[in-house]
Amino acid sequence: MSAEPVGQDVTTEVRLAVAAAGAARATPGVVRLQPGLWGLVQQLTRELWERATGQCYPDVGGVRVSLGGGAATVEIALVTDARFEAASVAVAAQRAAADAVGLAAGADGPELRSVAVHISEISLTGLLNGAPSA
Amino acid sequence: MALDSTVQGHGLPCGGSVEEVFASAETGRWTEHQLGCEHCAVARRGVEMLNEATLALLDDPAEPPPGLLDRVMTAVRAELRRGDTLDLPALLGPASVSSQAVAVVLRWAADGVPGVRARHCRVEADPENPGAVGIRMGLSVRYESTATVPPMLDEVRRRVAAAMAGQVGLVATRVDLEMVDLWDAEPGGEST
Repeated sequence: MSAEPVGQDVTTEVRLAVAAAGAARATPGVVRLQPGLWGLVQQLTRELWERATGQCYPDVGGVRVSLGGGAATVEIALVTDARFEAASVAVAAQRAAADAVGLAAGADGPELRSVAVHISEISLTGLLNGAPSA
Repeated sequence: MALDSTVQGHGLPCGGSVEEVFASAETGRWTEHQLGCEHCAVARRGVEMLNEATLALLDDPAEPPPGLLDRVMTAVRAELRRGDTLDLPALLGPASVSSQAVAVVLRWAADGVPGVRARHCRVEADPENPGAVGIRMGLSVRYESTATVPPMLDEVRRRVAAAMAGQVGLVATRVDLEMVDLWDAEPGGEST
Protein backbone atom coordinates (compact mmCIF):
# COMPACT_ATOMS: atom_id res chain seq x y z
CA MET A 1 0.00 0.00 0.00
CA SER A 2 1.29 3.45 -0.80
CA ALA A 3 2.51 5.54 2.12
CA GLU A 4 1.09 8.65 0.48
CA PRO A 5 -2.35 9.87 1.49
CA VAL A 6 -5.16 9.00 -0.90
CA GLY A 7 -5.65 12.63 -1.99
CA GLN A 8 -1.98 12.83 -2.90
CA ASP A 9 -2.30 9.66 -4.99
CA VAL A 10 -5.24 11.06 -6.93
CA THR A 11 -3.44 14.33 -7.59
CA THR A 12 -0.36 12.47 -8.82
CA GLU A 13 -2.48 10.19 -11.03
CA VAL A 14 -4.21 13.16 -12.65
CA ARG A 15 -0.93 15.05 -13.08
CA LEU A 16 0.76 12.08 -14.77
CA ALA A 17 -2.33 11.34 -16.88
CA VAL A 18 -2.41 14.94 -18.12
CA ALA A 19 1.27 14.68 -19.10
CA ALA A 20 0.77 11.32 -20.86
CA ALA A 21 -2.39 12.48 -22.64
CA GLY A 22 -0.77 15.67 -23.92
CA ALA A 23 2.30 13.84 -25.17
CA ALA A 24 0.30 11.08 -26.86
CA ARG A 25 -2.05 13.58 -28.55
CA ALA A 26 0.93 15.53 -29.90
CA THR A 27 2.48 12.43 -31.49
CA PRO A 28 2.30 12.54 -35.30
CA GLY A 29 -0.17 9.95 -36.54
CA VAL A 30 -2.37 10.05 -33.44
CA VAL A 31 -5.87 11.19 -34.39
CA ARG A 32 -7.32 11.20 -30.88
CA LEU A 33 -7.33 9.36 -27.59
CA GLN A 34 -10.16 6.89 -27.24
CA PRO A 35 -11.78 6.32 -23.87
CA GLY A 36 -13.65 3.10 -23.23
CA LEU A 37 -17.04 3.04 -21.55
CA TRP A 38 -15.76 3.90 -18.09
CA GLY A 39 -13.57 6.61 -19.58
CA LEU A 40 -16.60 8.05 -21.37
CA VAL A 41 -18.55 8.15 -18.13
CA GLN A 42 -15.65 10.03 -16.54
CA GLN A 43 -15.50 12.39 -19.51
CA LEU A 44 -19.22 13.18 -19.31
CA THR A 45 -18.95 13.69 -15.57
CA ARG A 46 -16.09 16.12 -16.18
CA GLU A 47 -18.19 18.06 -18.71
CA LEU A 48 -21.08 18.31 -16.27
CA TRP A 49 -18.69 19.44 -13.56
CA GLU A 50 -17.26 22.10 -15.88
CA ARG A 51 -20.75 23.29 -16.81
CA ALA A 52 -21.81 23.49 -13.19
CA THR A 53 -18.68 25.17 -11.85
CA GLY A 54 -17.35 27.01 -14.90
CA GLN A 55 -13.90 25.64 -14.10
CA CYS A 56 -11.78 23.55 -16.43
CA TYR A 57 -10.87 19.97 -15.66
CA PRO A 58 -8.13 18.26 -17.66
CA ASP A 59 -9.31 15.87 -20.37
CA VAL A 60 -7.53 12.60 -19.74
CA GLY A 61 -10.11 10.29 -21.35
CA GLY A 62 -8.25 7.39 -22.95
CA VAL A 63 -5.43 7.49 -20.39
CA ARG A 64 -5.31 5.52 -17.18
CA VAL A 65 -2.58 5.88 -14.59
CA SER A 66 -2.24 3.36 -11.78
CA LEU A 67 0.04 3.98 -8.82
CA GLY A 68 1.33 1.22 -6.63
CA GLY A 69 4.51 0.27 -4.85
CA GLY A 70 6.08 3.62 -5.63
CA ALA A 71 5.71 3.08 -9.37
CA ALA A 72 3.31 4.26 -12.05
CA THR A 73 1.76 2.23 -14.84
CA VAL A 74 0.26 4.17 -17.75
CA GLU A 75 -2.27 2.81 -20.25
CA ILE A 76 -3.19 4.79 -23.35
CA ALA A 77 -5.92 3.92 -25.85
CA LEU A 78 -5.79 5.85 -29.10
CA VAL A 79 -6.85 6.11 -32.71
CA THR A 80 -4.17 6.36 -35.38
CA ASP A 81 -4.20 7.88 -38.86
CA ALA A 82 -3.89 5.23 -41.59
CA ARG A 83 -1.41 7.44 -43.42
CA PHE A 84 1.05 6.49 -40.68
CA GLU A 85 2.30 3.01 -39.79
CA ALA A 86 0.36 2.10 -36.65
CA ALA A 87 3.22 0.23 -34.97
CA SER A 88 5.57 3.20 -35.35
CA VAL A 89 2.93 5.57 -34.01
CA ALA A 90 2.43 3.31 -30.99
CA VAL A 91 6.16 3.30 -30.25
CA ALA A 92 6.43 7.08 -30.72
CA ALA A 93 3.42 7.71 -28.46
CA GLN A 94 4.87 5.34 -25.88
CA ARG A 95 8.20 7.15 -25.89
CA ALA A 96 6.63 10.63 -25.80
CA ALA A 97 4.31 9.66 -22.94
CA ALA A 98 7.16 8.07 -20.99
CA ASP A 99 9.28 11.22 -21.33
CA ALA A 100 6.39 13.48 -20.35
CA VAL A 101 5.39 11.35 -17.37
CA GLY A 102 8.99 11.21 -16.20
CA LEU A 103 9.18 15.00 -16.29
CA ALA A 104 5.83 15.43 -14.57
CA ALA A 105 6.71 12.95 -11.85
CA GLY A 106 9.96 14.72 -11.03
CA ALA A 107 12.90 13.27 -9.13
CA ASP A 108 10.85 12.44 -6.04
CA GLY A 109 7.83 11.13 -7.90
CA PRO A 110 6.89 7.55 -8.69
CA GLU A 111 9.09 5.54 -10.99
CA LEU A 112 7.56 4.73 -14.37
CA ARG A 113 6.96 0.99 -14.64
CA SER A 114 5.52 0.82 -18.16
CA VAL A 115 3.48 2.65 -20.78
CA ALA A 116 0.98 0.37 -22.53
CA VAL A 117 -0.50 1.59 -25.80
CA HIS A 118 -3.59 0.12 -27.41
CA ILE A 119 -4.78 1.19 -30.86
CA SER A 120 -8.53 0.75 -30.95
CA GLU A 121 -9.05 2.14 -34.44
CA ILE A 122 -7.06 3.06 -37.53
CA SER A 123 -8.78 6.01 -39.13
CA LEU A 124 -9.07 5.92 -42.93
CA THR A 125 -10.46 9.45 -43.13
CA GLY A 126 -7.15 11.01 -44.22
CA LEU A 127 -6.65 8.39 -46.92
CA LEU A 128 -10.21 8.68 -48.22
CA ASN A 129 -9.97 12.46 -48.36
CA GLY A 130 -6.64 12.22 -50.12
CA ALA A 131 -5.07 14.61 -47.63
CA PRO A 132 -1.30 14.45 -47.26
CA SER A 133 -0.02 13.22 -43.93
CA ALA A 134 0.88 15.91 -41.41
CA MET B 1 -24.71 8.75 17.68
CA ALA B 2 -27.19 8.54 14.83
CA LEU B 3 -29.82 11.22 14.56
CA ASP B 4 -33.27 9.91 13.81
CA SER B 5 -34.29 12.79 11.63
CA THR B 6 -37.33 10.94 10.24
CA VAL B 7 -39.06 11.17 13.58
CA GLN B 8 -37.62 14.19 15.33
CA GLY B 9 -36.61 16.40 12.42
CA HIS B 10 -33.39 18.35 12.24
CA GLY B 11 -33.36 20.32 15.45
CA LEU B 12 -32.04 23.84 15.83
CA PRO B 13 -30.35 25.19 19.03
CA CYS B 14 -33.35 27.45 19.59
CA GLY B 15 -35.72 24.51 19.93
CA GLY B 16 -37.23 24.85 16.46
CA SER B 17 -36.42 22.62 13.51
CA VAL B 18 -35.31 22.94 9.91
CA GLU B 19 -38.56 21.26 8.87
CA GLU B 20 -40.59 24.00 10.53
CA VAL B 21 -38.50 26.67 8.77
CA PHE B 22 -38.95 24.77 5.48
CA ALA B 23 -42.73 24.66 5.97
CA SER B 24 -42.83 28.39 6.75
CA ALA B 25 -40.77 29.14 3.66
CA GLU B 26 -43.24 27.16 1.54
CA THR B 27 -46.29 28.95 2.89
CA GLY B 28 -44.59 32.34 3.33
CA ARG B 29 -46.02 32.62 6.87
CA TRP B 30 -43.31 33.17 9.49
CA THR B 31 -43.80 33.08 13.24
CA GLU B 32 -42.60 35.91 15.45
CA HIS B 33 -39.88 33.63 16.84
CA GLN B 34 -38.60 32.68 13.37
CA LEU B 35 -38.41 36.32 12.32
CA GLY B 36 -36.31 37.27 15.34
CA CYS B 37 -34.19 34.12 15.89
CA GLU B 38 -30.65 34.00 14.45
CA HIS B 39 -30.71 30.17 14.20
CA CYS B 40 -33.95 30.20 12.28
CA ALA B 41 -32.52 32.98 10.08
CA VAL B 42 -29.53 30.80 9.16
CA ALA B 43 -31.82 27.86 8.44
CA ARG B 44 -34.08 30.14 6.39
CA ARG B 45 -31.14 31.32 4.29
CA GLY B 46 -30.12 27.68 3.74
CA VAL B 47 -33.62 26.76 2.61
CA GLU B 48 -33.71 29.75 0.25
CA MET B 49 -30.37 28.70 -1.27
CA LEU B 50 -31.65 25.18 -1.73
CA ASN B 51 -34.75 26.53 -3.46
CA GLU B 52 -32.63 28.69 -5.77
CA ALA B 53 -30.43 25.74 -6.69
CA THR B 54 -33.46 23.54 -7.33
CA LEU B 55 -35.09 26.18 -9.56
CA ALA B 56 -31.80 26.61 -11.47
CA LEU B 57 -31.69 22.88 -12.11
CA LEU B 58 -35.34 22.88 -13.22
CA ASP B 59 -34.63 25.76 -15.63
CA ASP B 60 -31.59 23.94 -17.02
CA PRO B 61 -32.71 22.36 -20.29
CA ALA B 62 -30.19 19.56 -19.55
CA GLU B 63 -29.86 18.58 -23.17
CA PRO B 64 -27.43 15.76 -23.80
CA PRO B 65 -24.05 16.90 -25.10
CA PRO B 66 -23.86 17.07 -28.91
CA GLY B 67 -22.87 13.79 -30.54
CA LEU B 68 -23.50 11.84 -27.34
CA LEU B 69 -24.83 8.77 -29.15
CA ASP B 70 -21.81 8.67 -31.45
CA ARG B 71 -19.49 8.98 -28.50
CA VAL B 72 -21.26 6.19 -26.63
CA MET B 73 -21.18 3.89 -29.66
CA THR B 74 -17.52 4.67 -30.33
CA ALA B 75 -16.69 3.89 -26.72
CA VAL B 76 -18.69 0.65 -26.91
CA ARG B 77 -16.85 -0.39 -30.07
CA ALA B 78 -13.50 0.53 -28.50
CA GLU B 79 -14.39 -1.55 -25.46
CA LEU B 80 -15.39 -4.54 -27.58
CA ARG B 81 -12.24 -4.28 -29.67
CA ARG B 82 -10.05 -4.53 -26.60
CA GLY B 83 -10.67 -8.25 -26.43
CA ASP B 84 -9.26 -9.29 -29.79
CA THR B 85 -5.86 -7.71 -30.32
CA LEU B 86 -2.59 -8.19 -32.15
CA ASP B 87 0.68 -7.43 -30.38
CA LEU B 88 2.87 -4.73 -31.86
CA PRO B 89 6.63 -4.56 -31.39
CA ALA B 90 7.41 -2.06 -28.59
CA LEU B 91 10.07 -1.31 -26.01
CA LEU B 92 8.59 0.59 -23.08
CA GLY B 93 5.61 -1.64 -22.39
CA PRO B 94 3.01 -3.67 -24.23
CA ALA B 95 1.54 -2.27 -27.45
CA SER B 96 -1.38 -3.73 -29.31
CA VAL B 97 -3.83 -2.99 -32.08
CA SER B 98 -7.41 -4.17 -32.37
CA SER B 99 -7.59 -6.95 -34.95
CA GLN B 100 -10.93 -5.55 -36.10
CA ALA B 101 -9.30 -2.18 -36.71
CA VAL B 102 -6.67 -3.95 -38.82
CA ALA B 103 -9.39 -5.84 -40.69
CA VAL B 104 -11.04 -2.54 -41.67
CA VAL B 105 -7.78 -1.34 -43.22
CA LEU B 106 -7.27 -4.63 -45.08
CA ARG B 107 -10.81 -4.65 -46.48
CA TRP B 108 -10.26 -1.10 -47.68
CA ALA B 109 -7.05 -2.24 -49.42
CA ALA B 110 -8.83 -5.14 -51.12
CA ASP B 111 -11.72 -2.92 -52.21
CA GLY B 112 -9.19 -0.87 -54.16
CA VAL B 113 -8.91 -3.66 -56.72
CA PRO B 114 -11.48 -3.09 -59.50
CA GLY B 115 -14.17 -5.76 -59.43
CA VAL B 116 -13.52 -6.84 -55.83
CA ARG B 117 -15.61 -6.33 -52.72
CA ALA B 118 -14.07 -7.51 -49.47
CA ARG B 119 -16.39 -9.34 -47.09
CA HIS B 120 -15.27 -10.94 -43.84
CA CYS B 121 -11.65 -10.63 -42.76
CA ARG B 122 -9.90 -12.50 -39.99
CA VAL B 123 -6.40 -11.62 -38.84
CA GLU B 124 -4.49 -13.91 -36.50
CA ALA B 125 -1.05 -13.59 -34.99
CA ASP B 126 1.50 -16.23 -35.96
CA PRO B 127 2.46 -17.68 -32.56
CA GLU B 128 5.84 -18.90 -33.83
CA ASN B 129 6.78 -15.70 -35.58
CA PRO B 130 6.45 -12.45 -33.59
CA GLY B 131 5.37 -9.52 -35.74
CA ALA B 132 3.84 -11.83 -38.34
CA VAL B 133 0.17 -12.52 -39.01
CA GLY B 134 -2.02 -14.73 -41.14
CA ILE B 135 -5.01 -13.28 -42.96
CA ARG B 136 -8.19 -14.97 -44.16
CA MET B 137 -10.51 -12.85 -46.26
CA GLY B 138 -13.75 -13.50 -48.08
CA LEU B 139 -14.31 -11.74 -51.39
CA SER B 140 -17.14 -10.94 -53.70
CA VAL B 141 -15.68 -10.86 -57.21
CA ARG B 142 -16.87 -9.58 -60.57
CA TYR B 143 -16.65 -12.41 -63.09
CA GLU B 144 -15.70 -11.67 -66.68
CA SER B 145 -13.86 -14.82 -67.65
CA THR B 146 -11.75 -17.48 -66.00
CA ALA B 147 -8.69 -15.57 -67.17
CA THR B 148 -9.46 -12.39 -65.21
CA VAL B 149 -9.96 -13.85 -61.74
CA PRO B 150 -6.43 -15.13 -60.85
CA PRO B 151 -4.68 -11.81 -61.60
CA MET B 152 -7.41 -10.06 -59.63
CA LEU B 153 -6.74 -12.27 -56.61
CA ASP B 154 -2.98 -11.78 -56.97
CA GLU B 155 -3.51 -8.04 -56.88
CA VAL B 156 -5.70 -8.37 -53.77
CA ARG B 157 -2.97 -10.40 -52.05
CA ARG B 158 -0.36 -7.83 -52.98
CA ARG B 159 -2.42 -4.87 -51.77
CA VAL B 160 -3.50 -6.56 -48.55
CA ALA B 161 0.09 -7.52 -47.69
CA ALA B 162 1.27 -4.00 -48.54
CA ALA B 163 -1.41 -2.44 -46.33
CA MET B 164 -0.48 -4.76 -43.49
CA ALA B 165 3.13 -3.61 -43.74
CA GLY B 166 2.53 0.07 -44.54
CA GLN B 167 -0.53 0.92 -42.50
CA VAL B 168 -0.11 -1.47 -39.58
CA GLY B 169 3.56 -2.40 -39.40
CA LEU B 170 3.17 -6.17 -39.26
CA VAL B 171 4.15 -8.78 -41.84
CA ALA B 172 1.53 -10.93 -43.53
CA THR B 173 3.03 -14.38 -43.94
CA ARG B 174 -0.19 -15.86 -45.33
CA VAL B 175 -3.12 -14.29 -47.18
CA ASP B 176 -5.90 -16.83 -47.74
CA LEU B 177 -8.66 -15.63 -50.02
CA GLU B 178 -12.06 -17.18 -50.36
CA MET B 179 -14.47 -16.21 -53.11
CA VAL B 180 -17.86 -16.13 -51.43
CA ASP B 181 -19.73 -14.50 -54.30
CA LEU B 182 -19.40 -13.82 -58.01
CA TRP B 183 -21.30 -11.27 -59.99
CA ASP B 184 -21.56 -10.76 -63.74
CA ALA B 185 -19.86 -7.87 -65.42
CA GLU B 186 -22.69 -5.93 -67.02
CA PRO B 187 -22.50 -2.65 -68.84
CA GLY B 188 -23.65 0.05 -66.42
CA GLY B 189 -23.54 -2.41 -63.53
CA GLU B 190 -21.52 -2.12 -60.36
CA SER B 191 -18.04 -0.84 -60.95
CA THR B 192 -15.15 0.12 -58.74
